[in-house]
Amino acid sequence: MRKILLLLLIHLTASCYAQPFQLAPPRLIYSSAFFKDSITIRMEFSQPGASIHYTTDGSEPGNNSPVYKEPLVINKNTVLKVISAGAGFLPSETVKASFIKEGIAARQIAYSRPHEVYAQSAPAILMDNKGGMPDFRNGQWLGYTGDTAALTIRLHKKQKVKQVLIDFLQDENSWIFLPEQVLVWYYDDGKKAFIPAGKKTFTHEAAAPRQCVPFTIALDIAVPVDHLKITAIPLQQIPAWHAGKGSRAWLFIDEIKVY
Amino acid sequence: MNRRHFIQQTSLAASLWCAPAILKKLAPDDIILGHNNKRYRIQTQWSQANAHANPVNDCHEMVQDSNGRIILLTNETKNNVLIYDKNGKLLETWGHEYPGAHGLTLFNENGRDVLFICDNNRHQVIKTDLKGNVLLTLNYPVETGAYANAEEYIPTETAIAPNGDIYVADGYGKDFIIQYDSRGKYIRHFGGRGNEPKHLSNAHGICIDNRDKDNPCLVVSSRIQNAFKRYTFDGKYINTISLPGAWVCRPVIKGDYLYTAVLQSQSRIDLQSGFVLILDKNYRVISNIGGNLPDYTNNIPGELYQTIKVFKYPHDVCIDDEENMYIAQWNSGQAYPYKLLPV
Repeated sequence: MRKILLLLLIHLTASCYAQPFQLAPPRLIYSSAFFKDSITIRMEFSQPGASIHYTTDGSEPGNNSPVYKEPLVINKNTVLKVISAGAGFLPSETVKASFIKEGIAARQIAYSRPHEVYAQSAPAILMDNKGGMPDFRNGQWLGYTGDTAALTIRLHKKQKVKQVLIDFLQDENSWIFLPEQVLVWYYDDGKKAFIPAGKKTFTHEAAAPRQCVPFTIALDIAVPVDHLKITAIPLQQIPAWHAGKGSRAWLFIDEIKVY
Repeated sequence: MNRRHFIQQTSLAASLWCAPAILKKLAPDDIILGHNNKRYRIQTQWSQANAHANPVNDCHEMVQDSNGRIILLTNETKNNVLIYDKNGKLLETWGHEYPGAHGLTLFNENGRDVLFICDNNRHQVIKTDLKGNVLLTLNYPVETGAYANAEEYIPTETAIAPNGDIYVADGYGKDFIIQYDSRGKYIRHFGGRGNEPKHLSNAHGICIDNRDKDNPCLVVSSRIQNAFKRYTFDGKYINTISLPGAWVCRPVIKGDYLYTAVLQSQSRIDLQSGFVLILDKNYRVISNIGGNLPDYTNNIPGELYQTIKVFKYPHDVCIDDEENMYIAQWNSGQAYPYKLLPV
């Protein structure tokens, strides 16, 4: 039995030697990852015999997942995962894109001064429903290095707030990392002070692919509020596995939502 | 069960499990790549060079000499130049002094083949014979008045006009095209950066396009703009050939066609998303090796992108006298060139 298995293994290894080519993933085409009511997403992959498969429930797409035929209309927060497959090739890796719906409308989102190269001029840049593309040069991202990003959110009226979403960029080849820590406070009119409402500490143990990371923090706020404060601390020391070991990382933010 | 035993068992199980799936797939040399009348089969193991004795780093450019030999330029200083026969047998190597070896152009000068090497690190263009003897060295172009020092000048490519004039593309420097006579005397410069159509951004490659005998021209890559730009031999801008999505390295003319390696897809930067384009006499894409064949609207192609991961970062195309194609790649794990045979 052992011998037969060994022979079979040798045969299979030989036939595996000429690895087939892998397909590249499809191209996703959309105006922005952020939207008010709904958004239309087109997908493109022009390779005879190959098709695009996708999921919107967070599961990994495969040959049995729906085949893309016409533009997809999305009207709620959705993680889209897509592959190309077929035509005698290995299927592509999965590409992932998150689509984020408008939450509680903010009156203003103010921010501390970013690095001059990545300080965009539009004051509403963090609430304009534009961006969500993993391209740090596209004019949508605020970039910080070393200094803490301090953000203040003013709502139109006092209301119950359950969570905030911050869209970060992860592009480690360009030294752009997720933050070291994010802290959220709300302003208590009675106490005339900011009260801690949420906190998240990030780890950076292994390399991640380039992607947008729309990160949600659940808030512990019992009373209606109209004033929130967020501080995002950039990673102060790039970890040892990266070429920039020990240096300060960049922190990039392009949109904030309140729910 | 100890750990080693466990791994053996699981890898065997995995092999058995994946067997049917693999048998249904096509091996690389079974696949026909490209479109229309430009379709190829690939040989990924073309080079017979021994990787220990004759290693390569980035394989930047390739040309064929008058004797049919295929010449490869790499920035590996153990052997900057590797000379093959068409079957991939390594015939000869030379060169240890070109750490930034990047551009390789062959010109037949009164019956004798000469090479022009652009060295990014040395900030120089070096003309040699086929044995590597230096015939001429061009330093940074002080005459232009545009350069404060040699470091600002990072030449990537040359093209030699029929009269022997040398055009140097400063593709990693200031994006000027600098024109010299055959002896290396400065004539003029043009291109450079800016917002007008005549300007260039990453002028990575240049060639002489003599397919229209009455109107020969220069074709220059403006790689970050995903385009070629055409100029007269005296530097007057003619027009732009837009190739959206394609980081075109250098144009190569052979017969009626223009071939170009595309380093990567604009839609997947830094992700080994290159392919190889073939354009007809009207500069329309008629075949894409490893990518899509675009539709045209108002003479502009739709977005070009990689569809099959045949290449990582293709950097140059060489077409031999039998219409075989050779592809040199940048930053692709010290991979030797691939050969593609027309079908």
